[in-house]
Amino acid sequence: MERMQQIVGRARAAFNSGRSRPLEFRIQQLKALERMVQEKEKEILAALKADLNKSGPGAYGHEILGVLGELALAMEKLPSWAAPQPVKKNLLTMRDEAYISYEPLGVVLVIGAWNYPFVLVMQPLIGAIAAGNAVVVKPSEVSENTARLVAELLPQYLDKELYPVVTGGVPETTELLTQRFDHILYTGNTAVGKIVMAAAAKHLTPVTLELGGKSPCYIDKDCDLAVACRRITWGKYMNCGQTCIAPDYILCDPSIQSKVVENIKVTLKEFYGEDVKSSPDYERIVNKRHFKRVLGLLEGQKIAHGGETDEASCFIAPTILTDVSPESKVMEEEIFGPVLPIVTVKSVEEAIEFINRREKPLALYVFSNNKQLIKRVISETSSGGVTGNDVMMHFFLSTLPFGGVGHSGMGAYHGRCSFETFSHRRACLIKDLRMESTNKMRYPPGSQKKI
Amino acid sequence: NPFAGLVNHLRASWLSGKTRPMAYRIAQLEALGHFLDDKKQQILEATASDLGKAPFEAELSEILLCKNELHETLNNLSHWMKDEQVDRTLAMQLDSAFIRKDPYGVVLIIAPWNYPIQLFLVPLIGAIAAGNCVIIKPSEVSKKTEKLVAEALLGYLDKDCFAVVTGGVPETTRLLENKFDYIFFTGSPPVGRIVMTAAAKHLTPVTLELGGKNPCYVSDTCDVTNVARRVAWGRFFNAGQTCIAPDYLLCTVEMQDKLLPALRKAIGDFYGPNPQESPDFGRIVNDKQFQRVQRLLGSGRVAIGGQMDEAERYIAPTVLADVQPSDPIMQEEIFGPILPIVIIANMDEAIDFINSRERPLAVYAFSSNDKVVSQVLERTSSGGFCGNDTLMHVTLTSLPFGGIGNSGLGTHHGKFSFDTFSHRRGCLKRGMGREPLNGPRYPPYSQQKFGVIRATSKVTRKNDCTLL
Repeated sequence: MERMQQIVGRARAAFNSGRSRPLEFRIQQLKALERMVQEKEKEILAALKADLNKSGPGAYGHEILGVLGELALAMEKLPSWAAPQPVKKNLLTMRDEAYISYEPLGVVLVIGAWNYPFVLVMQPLIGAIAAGNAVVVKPSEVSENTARLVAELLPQYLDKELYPVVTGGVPETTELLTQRFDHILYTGNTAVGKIVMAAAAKHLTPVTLELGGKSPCYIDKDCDLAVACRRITWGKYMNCGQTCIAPDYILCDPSIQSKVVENIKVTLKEFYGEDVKSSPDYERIVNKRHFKRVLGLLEGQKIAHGGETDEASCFIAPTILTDVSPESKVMEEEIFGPVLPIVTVKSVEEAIEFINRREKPLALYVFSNNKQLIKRVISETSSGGVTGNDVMMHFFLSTLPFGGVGHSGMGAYHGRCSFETFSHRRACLIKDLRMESTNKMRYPPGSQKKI
Repeated sequence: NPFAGLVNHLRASWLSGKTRPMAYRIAQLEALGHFLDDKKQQILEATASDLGKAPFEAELSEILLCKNELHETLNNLSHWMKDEQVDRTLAMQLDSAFIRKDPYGVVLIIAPWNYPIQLFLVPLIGAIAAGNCVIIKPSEVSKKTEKLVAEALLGYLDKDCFAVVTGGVPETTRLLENKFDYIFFTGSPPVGRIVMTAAAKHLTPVTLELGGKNPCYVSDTCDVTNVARRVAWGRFFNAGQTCIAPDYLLCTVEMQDKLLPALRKAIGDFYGPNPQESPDFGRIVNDKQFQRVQRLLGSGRVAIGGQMDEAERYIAPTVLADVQPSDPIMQEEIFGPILPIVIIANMDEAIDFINSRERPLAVYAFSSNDKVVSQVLERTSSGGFCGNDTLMHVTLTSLPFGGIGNSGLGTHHGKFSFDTFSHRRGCLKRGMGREPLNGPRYPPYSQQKFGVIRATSKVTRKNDCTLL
């Protein structure tokens, strides 16, 4: 396990050499990453297909497009993001220079997840490079084809010492976490999030934890159900439900429950055709363990649609459950699968209370024609982020910080927020060595006049 | 769990939404202002009793600084609370996109003994401004101040939403077993680790304001008199018990020779011929700290001061010359009125020396040559930096105050306090109409569809409307 110590040690020595700091260097590395994504697009899509059965266009839209966008944004904005920020001065400091300097933190660790295995290592990597850091990348071993590809490709395009890729499972990650880093960004589940933060605490390492939870989706009686259900269907069943910000469950009035089911059924046919299993755009559960886990959630539930499975291919059909009890297993843990429970509530008050009784989710969704109602739901709940009258779209706006709160995480990134997450904001005050008379007031001997 | 009841009570108050309206927050903040005004005399007396804190110093650091933070917050709160509109993509031009500042919920503030009012009150201002409920845990080491806060503070604040918990290590350990929505800790790095480890069990975000050895480089080209005054002021304020005090000095042997008489003169100007008799010089907080600091005197040679009086926990403003990097005084944060001078040959050596150690809370550099100051700034890393002075960067509320690495994580002061205690929630509100525009994102997927998405997903400036 000296291997980890050596890898991190080399990254630290490379950082200490200072070469990752000049803006030209950072932009050059980002340009190289952009070339990599463009030149190796076929290989990346093949890996995503092998890992999660993502279709070419689907994978392109959900993973590659976002990465190219972040790269373009970072390269364009880096000079303005990295510039020192002058701050407001007071009377005493009028003649001084006072500003915030954005500096790299040092050696950053990025731990990716398996559900969007490419974008979830790339986006943090982009921010960390832009901020001038060395970065150790640890892709998820569960999405093994993408992990292998990332390990092969990054050294071909980037500085090998500054941006090493470490592969492996739990033992390797545990060993990696004993090393000292200057920031750790982890994407994954709550339980492991606690382990990461505890390991970080030993070195006083700041962390960004992008976790999960059950993102609620409230559908008001007063809304265009066809539109709402189409948007919800898109978000829920994308990547076979394996999306941290997927609408996990629906809250709605019992009187519209069956209409919701009908609308989703219609949309499912529109999206995936008569035989979902043969649609090139419908993904699979990542492995047998998760397949069994999601299957277990169906026990004892009223299946209004779907429920078909095929263990050999880890296929679970888009499934809707109705009249779900809040105490059932499917309402205990994040589903992370193509199963959509509907829990009925009699009013928006009940919905808000229901949401607030549970851990703070990563995302919250509310559908209504009534702007006041939407305002109210947002104001009276807490969540990482919100999209009103749609799902997941707040993720795609790079000017919004993306992150959780409470059990769904801490810290945020995307766009400029990534740059700031991976930077140290250093307060700088430069005074003149002359002008000593202005200091006389603060020196002892004290007096009321001086005060 | 002895504190479960208290935490649950505050959480219930939090869930009631009481602390969220701006009017409520302002009322509580104004009440804090009254606390500072009404109890000023008691604060001066308590800190004098706990630390021998000079009333002059206490007025500046415990009262004035807090009032500045309070006024800054009251003046700007409505602006800070507003949703922040953000730039949108072409596809989102007709949507509303903003960052909402949500309170976290129930916050814990743990304060140390060296600035016992300031170091709980300034974070408290931020926590209240951000709409949270707060449990305050003042330090048991500054006993009289702890008592004052426990007895008087809640006479000014809403007891349903704010509480003071007293006690030592056992009580704090039990308190940390509870789930908080944010923990703000000021203290030493070892205890910072304990706090963060406890926070990890509940995934509670933290800000840790810790410490370290703040280096002070003095170049050969400088106004020695002014340097000596500014360094002496920063070092001996509060008898050296300041997290951002210049901990040790780096200079050439020639500069040391010039500095020593200048430092002697500055000390004399500030505290008179016998500092023990000056009303403006503090004392060490307790016997344990006194003995710890006393042991550090056996490093280098005493060039100035060195006198002690155990009964009063008095240690004279002291300068040690020719200190070796391996000496005891260079192994830990001094937190006492002793300034060791370590000789280096030049600026590069000073920078290497600084960079070979843990990153400090502050780096100081003195030179009449701007380039020297810039070099030290650019080639080192620290929480904050002040060129040609000490301590002053933390009096500007527009600068973030915080550490890096061993000296801490997170920041506060001014708006940074408000931001620290707020969850920045990304919000996007769309309309139900224009559903055909969403067509490209739905399955069945195609390259053509993603061409459209790519074209419409670049972020444009806020006020542009390039639609049609």
